[in-house]
Amino acid sequence: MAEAIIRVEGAEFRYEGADEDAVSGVSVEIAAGEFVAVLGRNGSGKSTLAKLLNALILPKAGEVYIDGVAAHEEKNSLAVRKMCGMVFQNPDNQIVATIVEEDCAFGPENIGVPPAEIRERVDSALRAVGMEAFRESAPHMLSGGQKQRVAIAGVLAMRPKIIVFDESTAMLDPSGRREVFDVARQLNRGEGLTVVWITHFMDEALKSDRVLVMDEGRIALEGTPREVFMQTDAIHRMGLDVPQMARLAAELRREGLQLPPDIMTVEEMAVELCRLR
Amino acid sequence: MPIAIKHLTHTYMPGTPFETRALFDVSLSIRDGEFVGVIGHTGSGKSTLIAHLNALIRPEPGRVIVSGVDVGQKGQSLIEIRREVGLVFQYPEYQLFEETVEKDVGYGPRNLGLPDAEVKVRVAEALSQVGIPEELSGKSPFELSGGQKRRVAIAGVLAMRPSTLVLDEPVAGLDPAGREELLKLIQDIHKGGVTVIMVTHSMDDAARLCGRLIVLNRGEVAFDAPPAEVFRHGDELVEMGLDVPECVKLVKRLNECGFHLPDNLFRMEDVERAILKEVRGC
Repeated sequence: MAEAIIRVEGAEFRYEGADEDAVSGVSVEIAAGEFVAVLGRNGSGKSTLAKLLNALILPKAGEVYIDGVAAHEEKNSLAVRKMCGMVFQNPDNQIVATIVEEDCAFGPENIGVPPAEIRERVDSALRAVGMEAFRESAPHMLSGGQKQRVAIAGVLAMRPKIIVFDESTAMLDPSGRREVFDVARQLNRGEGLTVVWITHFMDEALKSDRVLVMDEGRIALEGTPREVFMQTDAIHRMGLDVPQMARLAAELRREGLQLPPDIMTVEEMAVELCRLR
Repeated sequence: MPIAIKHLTHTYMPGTPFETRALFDVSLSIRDGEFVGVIGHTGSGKSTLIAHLNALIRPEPGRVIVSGVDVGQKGQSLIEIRREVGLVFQYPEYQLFEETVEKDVGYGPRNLGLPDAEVKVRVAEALSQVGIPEELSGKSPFELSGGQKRRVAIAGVLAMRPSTLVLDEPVAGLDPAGREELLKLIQDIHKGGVTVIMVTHSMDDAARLCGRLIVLNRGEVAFDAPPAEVFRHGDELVEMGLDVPECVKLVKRLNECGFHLPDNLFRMEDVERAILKEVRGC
């Protein structure tokens, strides 16, 4: 594996007044340039892990390093947040300005980037998410997918090395979902951005390099999407689901069809079934 | 109660530079006992349409008739309509506000002026309908899990005993098990005799649950038909920012490479059966 840009060692976190740890003893490494999906039922600790990664919260035990910087030490919080940006679920909650380009400039302005450089950063960020034509639009006139892309541009303008997406497609229509996922994937492939993609959608996880499944505050499963989704029983036990074609393949195998155990997509299913016919 | 919508158009902020036409000449009717899915891209008019169903927006121009009552008529009391048509917004758990689950669910019935005993009966019934155990009724709704909060919020609407339940993306943000649980519950409510109108972005849920789909595109009704018919228009749906269920894609792909599966299948079980029949038949 390439050098780890995210290194979490035995991280523990408990919310005030809670009886149990939200994250308990999580250790994980993510390499620079990886696209890692994080799955897990509601309350499994996904969002808490995300917040540990950009120092929105500090662990009560354990260590978190972002590109070598100790994110578990309060003094490093600002440095960590510059390196690791976040995009949340609700596009309406993370847009602050009334004009798209002003919204993107909000972050760099706040950290004192000189005006000429802000201009350049905002332009290139909006270009990267395909929203340059909307730079003078009002965010509330945009579709959900477009708003999320503006939110991504705002994070990109901070020139982060990592972006954590916390269910950023949960509120979008099918085309908005594709749009936002594709932008993230392309930033990852094209610019080498490291992406942590938290989601409830198995088809998105399927298109990632690696999948982490969280359960009860721990990482319960880990591997390539195929490796993870072949463990159907474990996945179901954790309140999750396997991709639909994997489920169909399991049913057809039960009926006696000779299908390989790792069918995940429509294309793979079609190829195998055509061979049987 | 049957609902009829006739030539309904709605424009936001008319006469200003922000004028946006949300609905254009929409006509449709919903019969008692239907389970209708409403699908459409962001901004297609879904939310505007359902806001008309319980008179949150007055029809102008056009008519909305709920169980014989013309919603747009001047001086028409809207209480009866809101009692008949229960509306569950997106992320309804954000609307919880009372100290206890019981008080929150009972808020609507109390405001109807019902006697305490009746309110109590309705609260207990609504909570059991959504599978919230009685021992939680004295708890603060804010101590519950996300999925439980959402079910309590839905119970608050059910306690009004609506004959029609309108839900705006009821499973958004829930994990797969939570989605299944809530969808099952909505199915049960429907089986109990309530008309259900559900806005969804999931083509699979729409295919699985709804007897009829209304597809909105740029404020107009693009399709209004059973799922089998609607999902035949895969390319057009994708063009509208929508999609078809995975199994519909599989059928299309298999038929391209020589299978002869019927093109009106849209449920996974049916596709599975058709595949087995064809593979075994050869």
